[in-house]
Amino acid sequence: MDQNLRVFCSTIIAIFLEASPFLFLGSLLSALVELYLPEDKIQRVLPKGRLLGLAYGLFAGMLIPTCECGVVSIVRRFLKRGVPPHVAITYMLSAPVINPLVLAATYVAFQGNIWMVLGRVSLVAACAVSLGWATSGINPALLLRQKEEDSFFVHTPSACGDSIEPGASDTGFGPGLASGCYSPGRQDVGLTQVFVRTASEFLDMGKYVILGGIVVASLKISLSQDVLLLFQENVFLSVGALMLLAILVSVCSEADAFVAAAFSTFPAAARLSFVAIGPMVDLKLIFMYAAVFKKRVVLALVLVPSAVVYLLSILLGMILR
Amino acid sequence: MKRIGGVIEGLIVLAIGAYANALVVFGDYWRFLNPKFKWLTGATAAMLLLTGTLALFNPNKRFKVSRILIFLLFLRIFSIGVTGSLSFGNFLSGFSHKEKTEESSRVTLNGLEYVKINLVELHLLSEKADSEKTAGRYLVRGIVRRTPELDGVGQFALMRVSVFCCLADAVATGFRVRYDRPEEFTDGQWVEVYGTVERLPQKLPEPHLHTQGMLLTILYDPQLLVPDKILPIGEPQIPFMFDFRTQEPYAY
Repeated sequence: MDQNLRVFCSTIIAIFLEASPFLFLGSLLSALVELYLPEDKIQRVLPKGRLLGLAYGLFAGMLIPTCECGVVSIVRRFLKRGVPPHVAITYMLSAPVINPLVLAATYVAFQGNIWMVLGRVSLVAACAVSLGWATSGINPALLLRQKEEDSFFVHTPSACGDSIEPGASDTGFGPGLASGCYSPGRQDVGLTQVFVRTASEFLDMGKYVILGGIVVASLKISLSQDVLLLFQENVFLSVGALMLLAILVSVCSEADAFVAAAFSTFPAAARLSFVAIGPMVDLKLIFMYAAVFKKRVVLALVLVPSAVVYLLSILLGMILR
Repeated sequence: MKRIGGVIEGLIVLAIGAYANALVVFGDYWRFLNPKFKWLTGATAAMLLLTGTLALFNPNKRFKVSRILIFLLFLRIFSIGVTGSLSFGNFLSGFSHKEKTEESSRVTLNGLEYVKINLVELHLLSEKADSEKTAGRYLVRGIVRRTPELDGVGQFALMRVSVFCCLADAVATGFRVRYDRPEEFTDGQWVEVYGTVERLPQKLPEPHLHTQGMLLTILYDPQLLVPDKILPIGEPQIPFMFDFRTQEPYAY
């Protein structure tokens, strides 16, 4: 069998297997939120002020650590449950980096260089807060694709507010967003339904990991490293080149610092930009964003972090020179 | 029809769980992910088997044809990827899951003692060293890589693949080895090098090394291995470097 085909298949399998624990965890959390967490409870827990909400979203990853593969699924459910976008979007962008596992991995990969850890956190936080702030006050329904109709439980007209029925469809949004008659977060839903919902969510998000994996694997067997090395001397070009590489190769946020550290001939600013952009924008994430959010939101989720990371990395590169 | 779609989705989740479980149990796991994550994949496989079984007997009527098709494609990819042996320029062929036995962290050759260490660990150690010459004698192993640029300066590259999480982030890394007669070795040959580490006085031309399927192929310039002895060896049972330690005993 053709060696390239085998490398191609092995890379896709590796990406999916690596993502699957986080994908499953994200799907399970998403199902639990959908079935057990009513909107009023969420509203009680979340802070009222915008700044506090942003801080909440920024550091929630320390309590609910997840990687970029699982977080989109969770945030989709959060938004449907009426979690304010400035909390949900900030959490979505920051949690894959601002969590104990990734911070420790970054520290180890860069051989105890605390500035690389702080730099990574700062760049990601700047992007997450910017987009969180920009989406503040917007109705969550306006961010999500209207086509989304995957809610597993739905209100039955005959018993408004009292009965839910599996397998039907509604708008997919929480009570503040839909008719007001639908009552999500039922406490009497069995564990079986949680797992059935988890399976559905796992397949729904998993297909984008596979699609992203196919593109990544194709690039890996066709990309020439020599092209990349042409840019290593110039900070403007090297930052752009490593950012593009991070987006194209979609390395998990827990491993990307080790890959970045291997680019020892590139400026520190370029390596920093690699570990900052990857967990917020990569090929499989773009597929996931496109499935969950409206086009304008997807564009913002891709362009804003790219611009912010590029500019701040260049700035840091010039300061550190 | 809706029920059948839901049943198929349940079967797909079940199949993924079974495949992942088989990889963990039968050893092919090592081709795709760092073994330290075996427990995580095993736990996920168990949860997927449970989830798939429940979904199979309680089919979700909101199944989607697109995701069924994509996952059927993935299962086909899986069957191609897990059969046969891989060969990234000999990096992966014959890869097995035999556990390493406990061995001494040092060896003696011609009256000199060498610390067994892998290429990444040696690089980390050399980076931290203050002096021009990293103290100590080391034993490393890897694959000989030759290019006209390296031959021209009396060197070859000693390379191995390091995997941090999964094959997608695998990087081929290594050292230049000073050796006046590189033609004695063939490209892709496994050798062990007994020697010391020095710093190159000036930057040498890029040797244009490329390893199929690897994100990067990196030479740890300006470090240079100066061999006391080079011995041809067979391919190790674990050719990848998964573990990187900062003190003895090194992962080797």
